[in-house]
Amino acid sequence: MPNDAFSSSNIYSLANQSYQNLVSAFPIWRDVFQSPKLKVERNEKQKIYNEVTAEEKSAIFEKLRLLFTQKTLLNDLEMRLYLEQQLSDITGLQITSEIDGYNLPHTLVKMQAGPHQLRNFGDQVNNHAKIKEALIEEKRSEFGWFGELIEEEKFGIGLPLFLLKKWQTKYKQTINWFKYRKILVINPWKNLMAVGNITAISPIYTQRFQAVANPELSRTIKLWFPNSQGKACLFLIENQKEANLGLLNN
Amino acid sequence: MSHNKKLTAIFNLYADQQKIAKVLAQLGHDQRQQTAEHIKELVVYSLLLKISSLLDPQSLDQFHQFFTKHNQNEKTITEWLDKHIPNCTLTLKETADYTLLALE
Repeated sequence: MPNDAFSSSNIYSLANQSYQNLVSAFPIWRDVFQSPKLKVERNEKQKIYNEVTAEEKSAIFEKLRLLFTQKTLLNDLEMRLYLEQQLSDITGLQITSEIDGYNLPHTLVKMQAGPHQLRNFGDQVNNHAKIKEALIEEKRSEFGWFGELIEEEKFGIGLPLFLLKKWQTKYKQTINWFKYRKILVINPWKNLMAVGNITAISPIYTQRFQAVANPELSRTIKLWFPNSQGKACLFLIENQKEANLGLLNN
Repeated sequence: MSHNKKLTAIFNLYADQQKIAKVLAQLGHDQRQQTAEHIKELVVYSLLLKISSLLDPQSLDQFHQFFTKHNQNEKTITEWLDKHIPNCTLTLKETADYTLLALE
């Protein structure tokens, strides 16, 4: 029979203690599992996110839509900081435009709905569970084979990293820094947001499209629904470990 | 297979599910899910502590690599444990039972 000792908070302390016992005796597990405390903190952040009212959220999406017609607004530092703060609040992630001196080639993009990327040598479109009509890329990604990183492939994004200044001077560091880096992708016309990751250096010509989205990502945030026309906003995420690839609940 | 699924596999194999279900049934629905998660963590971390303490450093390293490798499933994990720890199932069931005693 459960008694007073059996409450959620007591079990939580026991679980936390159990975790501490494990990682203090065998630190090897620290890399694999998160402490219950960290998870609770993350859930708390999620709660705050859920508390942001629907009106506040739609106001932010409206501002993002406005950016596409008034692009100079993005040059306003205050506006940029305001957006980053608001997006951080509603996603529970740390959203920013610059980390370690690196930024994205574009914040406002028209995303091409790209094909699936090759996961392994000899990969075929039939090996991809959904959206077979998107076909498959002909060559391997610049970042190498995906192997078992299936989610990374699904939510992959191609960016023209060669447009960055650092590409010319710090080519290798730039490639390594951006490889599989998670970024926030927003479709402000459908009020949808997802975490994707950089998996390719494309498109080569950027007049029409400034980024490429893999099929699952395009479908998840309805990038090519009427009104959207592939338009999306991209931001960097500072706390990479806490960001999970895929759609963000909002 | 994610680490979380592997944890769930270990938990389901060695923890007395009936006992846990009985206790959880006494709770409100909103509290139940969160508490079930904490019970799982409590038991699994105790099991991993026990497993780690029964392995020599080299085997522990192997197990850690084995566990974190993506393509291993729950069956191969239990086979690995059976091979490396004598009376593995019995020992780990005892450990889980002992941990669950704290909830009674």
